[in-house]
Amino acid sequence: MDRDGDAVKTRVVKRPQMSLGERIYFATIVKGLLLTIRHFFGVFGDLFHWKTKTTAITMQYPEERWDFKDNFRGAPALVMDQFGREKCVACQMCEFVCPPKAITIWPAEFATTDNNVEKYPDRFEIDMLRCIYCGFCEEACPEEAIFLVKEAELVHTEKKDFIHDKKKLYQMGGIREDRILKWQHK
Amino acid sequence: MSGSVNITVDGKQVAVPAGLNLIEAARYAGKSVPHYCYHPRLSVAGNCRICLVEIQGQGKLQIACNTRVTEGMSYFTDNDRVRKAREGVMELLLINHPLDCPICDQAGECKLQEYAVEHGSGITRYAFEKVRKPKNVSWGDKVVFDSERCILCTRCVRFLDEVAGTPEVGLDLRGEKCTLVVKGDGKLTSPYQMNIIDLCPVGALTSRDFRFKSRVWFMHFTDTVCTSCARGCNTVVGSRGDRVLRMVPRTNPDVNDSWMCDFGRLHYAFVNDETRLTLPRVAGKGAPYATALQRAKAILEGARGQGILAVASPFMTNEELFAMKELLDRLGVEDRFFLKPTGEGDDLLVHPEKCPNARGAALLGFAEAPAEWPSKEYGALLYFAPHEGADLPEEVLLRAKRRIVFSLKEREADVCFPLTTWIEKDGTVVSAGDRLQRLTKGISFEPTLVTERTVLDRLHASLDAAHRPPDTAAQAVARLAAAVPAFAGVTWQRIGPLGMKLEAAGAPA
Amino acid sequence: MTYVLGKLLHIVIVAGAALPGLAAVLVWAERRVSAFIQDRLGPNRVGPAGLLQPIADLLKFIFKEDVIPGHVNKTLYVLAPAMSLVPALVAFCVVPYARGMAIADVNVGILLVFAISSIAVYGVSIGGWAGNSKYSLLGGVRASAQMISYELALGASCVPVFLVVGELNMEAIVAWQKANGWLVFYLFPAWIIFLVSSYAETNRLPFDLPEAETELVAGYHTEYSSMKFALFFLAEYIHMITASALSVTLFFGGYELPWVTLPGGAWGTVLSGLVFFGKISFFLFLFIWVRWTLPRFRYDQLMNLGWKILFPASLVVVLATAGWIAMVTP
Repeated sequence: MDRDGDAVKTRVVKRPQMSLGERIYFATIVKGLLLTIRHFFGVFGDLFHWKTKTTAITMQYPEERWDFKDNFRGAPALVMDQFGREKCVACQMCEFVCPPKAITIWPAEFATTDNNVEKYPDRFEIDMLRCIYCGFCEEACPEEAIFLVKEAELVHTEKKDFIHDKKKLYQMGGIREDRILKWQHK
Repeated sequence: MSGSVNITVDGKQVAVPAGLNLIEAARYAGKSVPHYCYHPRLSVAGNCRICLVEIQGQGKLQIACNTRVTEGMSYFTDNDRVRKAREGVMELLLINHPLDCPICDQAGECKLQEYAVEHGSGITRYAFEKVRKPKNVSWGDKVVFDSERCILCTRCVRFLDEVAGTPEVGLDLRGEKCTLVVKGDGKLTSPYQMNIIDLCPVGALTSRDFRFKSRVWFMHFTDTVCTSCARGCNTVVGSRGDRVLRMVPRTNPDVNDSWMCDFGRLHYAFVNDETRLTLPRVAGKGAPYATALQRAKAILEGARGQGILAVASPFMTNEELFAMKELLDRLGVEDRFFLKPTGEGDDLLVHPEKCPNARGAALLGFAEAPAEWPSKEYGALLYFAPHEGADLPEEVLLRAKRRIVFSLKEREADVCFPLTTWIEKDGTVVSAGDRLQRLTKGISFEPTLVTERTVLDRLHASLDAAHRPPDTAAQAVARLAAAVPAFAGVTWQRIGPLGMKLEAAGAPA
Repeated sequence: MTYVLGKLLHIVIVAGAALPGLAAVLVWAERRVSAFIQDRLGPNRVGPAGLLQPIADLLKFIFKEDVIPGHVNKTLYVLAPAMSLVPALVAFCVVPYARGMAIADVNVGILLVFAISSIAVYGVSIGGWAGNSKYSLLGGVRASAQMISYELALGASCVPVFLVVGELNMEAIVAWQKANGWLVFYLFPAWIIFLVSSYAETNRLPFDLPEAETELVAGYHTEYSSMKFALFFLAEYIHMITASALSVTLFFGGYELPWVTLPGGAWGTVLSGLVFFGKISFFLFLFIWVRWTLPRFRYDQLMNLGWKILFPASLVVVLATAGWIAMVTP
């Protein structure tokens, strides 16, 4: 009976009985063997360039690499505007939003007051052993100064090398076109 | 202005003291009215217009700050008309406000941000260039002014005029060019000038000292008391990563209202001094506490027959002084003194005694240092060096064979224990007017540091196995209250965050 | 003396170099063939086409820390890999891998193989016991049950060969096939039973229940690492070589080719060896090919197949062959 108390019609499905031929499995074993050998010779053919379309799906890393899509979330990096000036104002929003607390910023004030920018990061460190590549920093940044770049291969032998300092972050981030140009006018 | 009046706030009937304005009266009904220019301790200016409320029977909305309650008054703080008016005021205030929040120190404790979220519309309809005004203007070495962020509430003008008594700031020009200016060379002179930074509801006035040090949401805040003078202004200490970053006043009508002096506010560098002593030193070499305590015990026991000189510090808490008193009682020490740093005072807050607890030391049986020290030779000296002010004279130091010194920095002594500062421990001090106030632990400078009370108690316990020292500050206060008549009836709970008057202590010091 | 030294040299070359070497190549082949079947490329970095990969693997095995877990039965734990490898090597001794080139050309030939290979089960089951963990033990128990079960069918499936040839000597079997054609054409059902049973005996898929990664982590060698594990690994591959060699010798004419008569003398030995190698290569490939095609049996299916199908079937084949011989023989 179902939930409303109505009688539910049931039908007993008979388990299919295999015939003798099926139970010996020979036909299916041979079928399976033929299938696998077809793939075997498919890749074999790749190696000797028998055909144009390749069967092997293996990528020959590191000679070949993935073409990361634009929304790929790799290592976070700082970017400069088109005049090579620092975009980050050390507001520490990324530091605040960072779930694993990978980002640490030491803000500082410019000694001179003639430019339009007052604050900059004296030191900016991202601990890549903590980073989880969530991209919250990029999302939180009000100055469009931090981006997750297509950098996914971080291999070091020393723990301290995983702490990316400002120099490394700018080197990874490079230059991005800026529309606001806060250095020229507020 | 005595007696009470019955009013209705948003339909809720309450009885409030007569003479209140509508903002304060609304609190009795559990309602808060937003306000920028209004401050309970300053005169009413009524220029920000965010506190508009609808009073029944009056056609136009009225500002709550400058309207007083009358019998039978009924007003609304949160109906559609009021909300619409506030939204309009917020929109106008934000029209020329720069998008500085990422670099503005006020962000996180900014009234403009808070009210924009609570009462703002969330969008701007203004499509033109914002007005440009001077930014990053130095008003001396303590205050930085940003005219674009200013909403012209004139709280700073009124404070310097009415409270500090130095009217140096005023409004200049009109309309969109209107800006704050400082009299004369444009530098502030008032010793209370930094209060205008706290008063400023937006980020127009920021502290040179705290500028860009930390965003407020990263900081840990501790309610405690300033120890720069005997006034004991109630403060909130902001710290991050076990380092003190700033100190701001905490409202206490019985002590400091909402103000504090610039000296006290900026007087915390010695807490963060990285060259401070963090481990005891025995004969000039770093040593663990156990070793130093053993050595100190040996010195005190060895000097029993030859006399011991005890010099306390008025920077110690009552509990520490009491622990010292107990130890000295056990050792039978007669000569107990403390060094009192003094200086200039003023009429507002600054007290001539430049230490937090001279009165407490006196109440616990320590005598103020005499001009002429007794010309005795001592077997040992137990000396708590004051953080500042006059040190113990050299010849008195030399009169003792062995010296146990508690100090912030390393000193020449047989045993030198590190001192902890006021923000690193729980305790009580007796401020001016026999007011007992609580210090609260906000940071631990180094995990290795042990507070003086623990050191004294462990020293005591090593001399007398029967000594059962108190553990928490509350227990220490209870032990003190039980033993010293002046502190009778005092408990940690009773002192509370605002402190209490020590009635039993007799006449004010 | 010369005879003894010569035999010793022969043993050293076969057991010390040829078989482990072939096993190493087999490991490489296993990895590459499996990769090809799965549309991958497999190890292709170390040496040409990745051929030096087994050497790299060996270096890794040698330099890995030789861990003996605290909870194991130490004596048996150390003994088990050797007990697994030695029978595998010994069993090969009677196989004529080229003309006149069996290490021991004994008359009981194939019986010796069965006698020795039934010892191999001890290595596996003792290894499983010594590991002293539930996975190892289950793997060991399964191995012993499985190998004992399929040994019957394996032995019975060879009886028709002896009935037909009338000899147990391997060289004689090869010679008979040279004269009368491959035995597989006479005894196809017997060969099928032999093939399936030999897969079960070598613990290869679809009969790798003693290892059964998905259920038993790594079965009887779960607790083993470094060279001790490598010995188990080597034993499995040498078993494969022996099984292939037996299949070739008993059913596919051994080192001789049909219709073509190889020349005599040293050249004949070399050529016959190459023929033999070519033949077992196919069977070794078949081992790998089957492994990466068929899924593993369930344990009850394994027992059903062994006891209810293969064993009765092999008896039927023996009886039928005997009857046939009785009819055609005057």
